[in-house]
Amino acid sequence: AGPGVDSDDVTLKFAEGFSASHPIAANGSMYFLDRLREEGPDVGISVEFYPSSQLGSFEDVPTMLSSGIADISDVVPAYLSAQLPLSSAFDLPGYTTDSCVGAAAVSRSVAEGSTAREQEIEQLGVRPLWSVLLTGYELMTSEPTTDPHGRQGAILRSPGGAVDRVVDAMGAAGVSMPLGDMYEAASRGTVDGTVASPTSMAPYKLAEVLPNSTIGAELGSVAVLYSISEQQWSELNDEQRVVVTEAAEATEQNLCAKLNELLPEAQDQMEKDGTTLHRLTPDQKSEWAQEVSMPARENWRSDLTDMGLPAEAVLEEWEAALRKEESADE
Amino acid sequence: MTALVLSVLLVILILLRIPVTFAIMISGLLGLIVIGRGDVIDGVLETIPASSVNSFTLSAIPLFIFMAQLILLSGLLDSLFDAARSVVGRVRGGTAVAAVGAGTAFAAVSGSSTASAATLAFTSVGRMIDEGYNPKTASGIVAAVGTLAAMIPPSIALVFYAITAETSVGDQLIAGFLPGILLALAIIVTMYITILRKTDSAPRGKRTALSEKTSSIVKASPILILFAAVVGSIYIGVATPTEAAALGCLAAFLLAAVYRRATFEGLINSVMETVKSTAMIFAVIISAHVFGHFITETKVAPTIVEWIEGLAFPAFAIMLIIGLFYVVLGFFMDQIAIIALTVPIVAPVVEALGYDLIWFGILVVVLAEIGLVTPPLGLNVFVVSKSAGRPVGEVFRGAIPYVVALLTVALIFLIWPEIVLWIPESR
Amino acid sequence: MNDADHNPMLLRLNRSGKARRTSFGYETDDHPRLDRVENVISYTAGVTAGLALVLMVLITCIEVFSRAVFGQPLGWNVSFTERYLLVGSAFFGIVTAYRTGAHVAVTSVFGMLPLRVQKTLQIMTHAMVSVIFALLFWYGLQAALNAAATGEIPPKGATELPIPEWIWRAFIPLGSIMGMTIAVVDLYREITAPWGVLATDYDPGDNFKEDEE
Ligand code: NA
Ligand code: NA
Repeated sequence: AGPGVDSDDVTLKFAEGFSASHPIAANGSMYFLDRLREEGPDVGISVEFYPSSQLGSFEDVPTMLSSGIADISDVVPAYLSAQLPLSSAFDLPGYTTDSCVGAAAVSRSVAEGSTAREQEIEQLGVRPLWSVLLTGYELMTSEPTTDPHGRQGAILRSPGGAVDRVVDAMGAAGVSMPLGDMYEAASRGTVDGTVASPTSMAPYKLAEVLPNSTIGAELGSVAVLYSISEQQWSELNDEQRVVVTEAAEATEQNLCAKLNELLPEAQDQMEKDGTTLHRLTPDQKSEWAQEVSMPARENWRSDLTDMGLPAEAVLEEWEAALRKEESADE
Repeated sequence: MTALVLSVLLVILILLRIPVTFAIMISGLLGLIVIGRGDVIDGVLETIPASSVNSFTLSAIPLFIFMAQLILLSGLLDSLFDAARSVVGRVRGGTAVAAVGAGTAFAAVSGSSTASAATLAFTSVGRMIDEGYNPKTASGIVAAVGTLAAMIPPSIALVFYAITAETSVGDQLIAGFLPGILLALAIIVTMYITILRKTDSAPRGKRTALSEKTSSIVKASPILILFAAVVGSIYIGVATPTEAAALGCLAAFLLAAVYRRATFEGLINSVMETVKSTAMIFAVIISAHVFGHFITETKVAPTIVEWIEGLAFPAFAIMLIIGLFYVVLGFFMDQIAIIALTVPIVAPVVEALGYDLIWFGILVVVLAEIGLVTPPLGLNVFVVSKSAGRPVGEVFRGAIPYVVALLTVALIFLIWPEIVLWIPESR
Repeated sequence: MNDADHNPMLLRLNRSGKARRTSFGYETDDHPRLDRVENVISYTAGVTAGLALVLMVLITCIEVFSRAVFGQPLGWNVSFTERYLLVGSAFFGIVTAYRTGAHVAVTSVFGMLPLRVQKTLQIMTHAMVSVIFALLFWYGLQAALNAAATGEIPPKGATELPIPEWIWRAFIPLGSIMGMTIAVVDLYREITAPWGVLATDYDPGDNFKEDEE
């Protein structure tokens, strides 16, 4: 029996890089698991879940998928800058804070036939199932600022990827530092701040050491492409593919809606913990867009183009997808 | 079941003198084959060797080892020992107390327990025996005092635990301070108990004039520079705990240069000793990750966690059992292997029982330190035996009272976790 | 012979048996040429790992100074240390550590076994170590080739230096094949030596039985 006809039972190994309680896993992967556990048995699918990078780190996900260590896992372009440089376009600042618009646009930008898919995702032998866009990165600092260049010369921890360019555009100096060292480094003034997502930083209670945060600077996002290995996909029969695909689509929608609820909640939580939130006025927002987002994107485009990559095409497809999703949303 | 069989195989291989690293790796790979996952060995060996050492925080390990090697080269420990001896003066067991004191001070600038024991043995065991100490007592004390270096910050073991358990490196290090001092006191008390039983084994120290005391303290004072380089740079915010290790190396190098000990040959030797110790540790970390992958694939860990959570025992009793398990592991394995192999599995249990992971790190390191002075694999005893030229069995016997002392301290931490958590939580 | 030589529990550390210890290995009278091969490999790997260590100190210190004094962090130091220096010191260092017998091992049980059993175990150990180094070499090579074939390189403008990924990945197969060579030479020496002789127990501690030569 060839692919698509094979009706053998299959066990899908799902390797989750985040811990099961991380918002992305708790509202996404767990939802997907529940769906598959409910509907999978009818078509011969069972699933095993390994959270917290037990089967390998984020950097290893492509090899884990291609070697069969896992069948489904989270491909994060920000952690795979050498393998997925083009897909880091989705992390660039100033595009959207709406996770649903973002996730749908990411899925559209990595769909079959897209430049990112053909240029780099297919090379990894993986097939995206559902997308996540963790939006709303903000500047969290010891000294308050609402001015895009207000922290010029400051030393900011950057989680890497597109944020490196944002830090650069602010005229600050980026350091990479393990998250575990961050609290200590911020409390001692080794670093002056960080660019991070309120949703993932709220639990760290940074208020004591970084008592200020912008709201509305929109300094970037992190895209996550939950993917299945092409190998495993080719072994699924049509019925199984339908179940997996439908579960994935439902997961994308459920998760993005939850992330949209969580972002303001996380900001409130930070405020409750003692962070002063500096909400930017529309004028200030457009200033940040002009002074930080635009240069960061331009810089990304020219650097990747110089390397011979079709950065222009990916950026155009990404922006077109966003426009489409935004208008569909209205 | 497979996990258990392969763990037994691992111990057998270690007992048959297969180097620990290779024994762990072989058991892990065989385990994957046995459970029918031999097909993922390619993926495992394409990813784990690189990604298990691809962590910036790990660089603190070679840097702290290098720092200890450079301090050894500088001869600072001799000065520390002399200073402690002259301060203690004509107390019974004075030189032994001085060895503990010098070892405690040295622990504040050395991250490696074994390097500390080797250095201390080189400096002090011979002198103690010359003064009439029972060789068993002398070498046993030194093997035990070495363990302080892994508790009093900086500490390689605590850094590695923090990486593995994902606790804050800074908090984990600072948490070791008070327990380290308690361990030092426990060692002194134990020493006096052994002395009181056999008065001949601990002669009085030498009476020293005040001027002599002062000059010897001045000579040992550069240790403050080292301490400032490591702890001070973190405190004033110049460096992260990881980076502070590099500043410590620089300071130790300058110290060796000032003492005119930084010969080309001496430096090369320090570098090579560091390279070897580092590679051994990293190799163990890589192998432990491979074995850990096998354990993950058996899905035995969540089963154990569920089983333990379902037990009707009080949390304290379960922690006691976990503690005993660590003591047994310490017979056969070194600290890094113990932490790398067990912490990912045990930490969730400990959290579920309501204990703090910073506290658990201190407990694990104390228990793993006990393993450094128990047979058949007792690294501190081996290096003391080598540096001091004493038989291994004698050193093991001499260390027995201190095993009891370390166990007692571990039990105290288990009963009163707040002792350990007092400093990190009051910051 | 002093007391230490009679001891039942000894780590294989720095104790000279029949072989003479050098900084990077051993010299014997049986196979001076093979000794040289093993020691040169060990020397090359050791020097490389040593350079990685010294660079680790220098780069981290430069990062701290340039950040604290000039407010200009290097930025690339973290990823460079993670990829090049840590991987380099691990996989080149392991060669020297193995050749100089620095690996931790339990010798007490081994010491109580009859010579022929010891020799069998010794052959087994060399074979296992050879196989493990061979596996690390082979799969490390696949990872490096794969990174080269897909042209993996961190993009410009980020904190990572835009150096092709296969370069640091190549450290793993390089170090592993050096380690494998040493283990295979030892295996050959042990197998070709007479049954009554432990030929590669360079640092036997007290396990060396003088009378059984
Ligand atoms: Na220490
Ligand atoms: Na032991």
